[in-house]
Amino acid sequence: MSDPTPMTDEALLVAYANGDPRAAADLTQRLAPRVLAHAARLLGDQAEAEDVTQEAMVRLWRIAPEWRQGEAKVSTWLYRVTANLCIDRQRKSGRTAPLEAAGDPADEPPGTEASLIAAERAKALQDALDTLPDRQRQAVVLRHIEGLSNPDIAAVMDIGVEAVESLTARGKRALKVALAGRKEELGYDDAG
Amino acid sequence: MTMQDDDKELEAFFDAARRTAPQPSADLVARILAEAEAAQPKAAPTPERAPWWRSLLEGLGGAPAIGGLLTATVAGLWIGAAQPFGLEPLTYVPWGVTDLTDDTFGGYADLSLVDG
Repeated sequence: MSDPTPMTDEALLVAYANGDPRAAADLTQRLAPRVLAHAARLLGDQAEAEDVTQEAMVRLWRIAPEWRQGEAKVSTWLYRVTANLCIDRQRKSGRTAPLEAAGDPADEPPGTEASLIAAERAKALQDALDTLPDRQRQAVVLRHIEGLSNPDIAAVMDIGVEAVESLTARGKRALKVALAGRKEELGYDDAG
Repeated sequence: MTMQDDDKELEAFFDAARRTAPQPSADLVARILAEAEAAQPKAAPTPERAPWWRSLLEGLGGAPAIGGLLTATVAGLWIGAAQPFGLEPLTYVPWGVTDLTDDTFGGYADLSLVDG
């Protein structure tokens, strides 16, 4: 809005590597929320998601001087690092499913009916996501919540586009089944 | 319930998840920025414009060359200003001799005769 031609993530990363003191703040403002949200959905734990976010951003700062321009999107690279860090944490802790839903929502003002419904739906979705296999969960989150394209998801997960389509389709089917029993309590009825 | 209805309902859940996404706390942002500052390569300092006399000095070959130049200058001035006392015997003696004989040059006054 204020800047009609905002710098790309990659341009900001190059500026950071060249010593621009503002670039880190801009990148953090742009990317840290996405990393945190992704980690929270994969881990289901706010504190652990914050640790992963911090570590992922540190890795971004470290790779900056060696970043090869034009080879990969910064956001794609960061999603991949985030997912790998989440997997490492789950392996170390000996669990593959998240323990609990992510922390308090920040976008919705508390107390309103709409915000309460949104929070309950988000909680129900997180519970349902937690029942999915890791790869299905990751693909569904990247496609339907983070809004990445299938080719970008394929790059993040290091698989083919067809495999992404298969994972998201199976994931959505499983989510529908998991959420079917909770429609009534979440304000849905059979009439739609 | 059709497949489209299912997708619509599922989209409502996804939308709720997007709207309730956790946001980084101020503390987390501060930690991230502190690490960014610590890891950031320092910008190369802008080269200052060298003063004119430095470029002149470097054009002449730097300080050693200037030292040699000054030494040569002083030596040249001294040589030019000082009386040539050391040359006096060589120039004065031959012209001071009034009676030049063959002995003056040890019998080799006419070197062409030596070679025959």
